Amino acid sequence: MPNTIQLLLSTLLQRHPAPEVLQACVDRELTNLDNRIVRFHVRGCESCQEEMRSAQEVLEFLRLSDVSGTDVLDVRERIMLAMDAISGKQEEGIHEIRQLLGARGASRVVGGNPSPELQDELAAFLGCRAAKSLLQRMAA
Amino acid sequence: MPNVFKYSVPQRLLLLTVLHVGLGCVLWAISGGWSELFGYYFQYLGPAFLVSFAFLELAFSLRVQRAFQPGEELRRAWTLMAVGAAFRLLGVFVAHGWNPSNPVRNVGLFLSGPVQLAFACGGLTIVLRLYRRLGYSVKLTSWDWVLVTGCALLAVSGIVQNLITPSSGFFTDTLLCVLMFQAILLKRSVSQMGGGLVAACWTSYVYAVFLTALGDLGITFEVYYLTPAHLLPAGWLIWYPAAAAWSLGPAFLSEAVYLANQSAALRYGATLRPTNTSTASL
Repeated sequence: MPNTIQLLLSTLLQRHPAPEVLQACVDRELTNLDNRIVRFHVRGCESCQEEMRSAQEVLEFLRLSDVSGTDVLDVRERIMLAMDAISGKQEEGIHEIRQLLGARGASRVVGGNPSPELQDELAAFLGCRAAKSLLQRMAA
Repeated sequence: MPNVFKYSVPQRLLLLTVLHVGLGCVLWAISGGWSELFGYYFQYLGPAFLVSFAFLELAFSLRVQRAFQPGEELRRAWTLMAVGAAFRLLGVFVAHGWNPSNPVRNVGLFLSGPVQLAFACGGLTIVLRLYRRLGYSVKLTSWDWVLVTGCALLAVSGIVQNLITPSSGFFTDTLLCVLMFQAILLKRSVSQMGGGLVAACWTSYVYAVFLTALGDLGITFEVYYLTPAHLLPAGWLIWYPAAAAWSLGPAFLSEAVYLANQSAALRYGATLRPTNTSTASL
């Protein structure tokens, strides 16, 4: 039974716009069970970054959500849901920033992370307390 | 662009304003210029509106001021706004709360006029400095320069007029000219944000300044008999949306701070449900 990293990779492969880029990593992963290569790829790949911060964070999310199951399809589905949820969470974070600081502020949220300029702007316009609370929620 | 009037507090303030001004317009239309009922509107409902909104302005300003910690850039700005709002409330109450004598009324008008405007001027100066620091560059259009030149000429004419006939109106006119200039700069800075509650807050202050300037212009026209009698109520009705705009500014930012502070559980936690099968090592 492939481990979760392998499942994660195959899911990414389905959703990646250039799957051949990931293919080599996936092959290596399936052969050598080496997580470092995929993590290195995911961190550097803009396309993967758009959907999730890193494979490790998705796994962490899955662990925190008490996902369990031996069924491959079940775990794969949960990875997809996790990625959608994180992507949705990013969208929600962007939406929240847009409500507060408008379109310019929202454009400074990259991959779910607020840029330093945005953090400065939040603190300046809303106060450090409110900004910190909002940024903590976005990072959660 | 998000709809900032979907939030309940600004929505209610706007609705109350529309209802109040709408009632005034209806009474004006059916009275054909003046009537006893129209008189009651300005004698009782109008002051109640002005005092209520001045109170709300103060309440929201204090709420926002408390959201900032000592040392933060906008704490001083909001302190000045709150002090200005306090003077406005006191002045409006003194001038309109009951039937005061003329000297007492003039004191009230001075407090709610030049004194409040001076504090607003101080607050907006800090806000403009902040926008510049955050990189919101301001490019004035040709029309902006026409308005700025107009403001400067009005200020100069006010100074000259005051040298001939000293009056306290000089302070209001001069401060309004400075505030108009600040409002133009602020409008240009805020427009770069692309909407949002923070932009709505400062845009409200821009409208507050413009509407107050219009009201002041109306008074000047009235004093010099430049306004036809049947159009005089327009110059009086303008003060209600102006009062609403002064209170909407802090109301919007109060809403923004509340939104940013509210705690929320992981919104996406419900999308995943644990299964009953045995745990696989992940």
